[in-house]
Amino acid sequence: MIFAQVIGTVVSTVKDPNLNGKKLLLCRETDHEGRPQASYHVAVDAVGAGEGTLVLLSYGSSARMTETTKDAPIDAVVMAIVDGVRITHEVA
Amino acid sequence: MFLARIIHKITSSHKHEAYNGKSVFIVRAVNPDGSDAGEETIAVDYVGASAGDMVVCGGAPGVARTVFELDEAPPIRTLIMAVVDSIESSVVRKEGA
Repeated sequence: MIFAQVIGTVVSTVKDPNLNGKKLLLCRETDHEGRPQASYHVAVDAVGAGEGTLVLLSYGSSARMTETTKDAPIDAVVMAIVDGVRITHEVA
Repeated sequence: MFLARIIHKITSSHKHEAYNGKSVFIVRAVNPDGSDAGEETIAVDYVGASAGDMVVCGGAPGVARTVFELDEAPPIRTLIMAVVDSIESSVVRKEGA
């Protein structure tokens, strides 16, 4: 999983029918403090995340394990909205 | 998944049977504003995309098998699963703007 910020949505008419009714979120990878990293991802929304939200994004076949994405032809899902990150130990 | 632009169609006469009847494209990863993000990959289309389109690509183990309803997993990794009409965002500069 990675931290990402939702920066928009992808609008598509021509697509796999199993994507109908699913929101495709445009996300930018971030570090744990929400600082933007280089890569962008398109992920299916499973939690109702809006633009600007810091989220957790899961990749690969595990992305098809949520109720929303079961059997869908996808490899990335937003499956958590981050309320905060608390670091208890710093690794030297 | 990632955003990409279709840049070429690949034709092949000798191929694995899983590729029969499918369009195979070279796609180049792009940023949300349409600018080149560099990496090229080969993707199998099944939604009806064509050269020049911005598309959503991706794939994970098992996805192609589900999509093409096959008994065995085909030698296909990356698929084109959606053609992008537009990107709605207050922070992404629109393509061509």
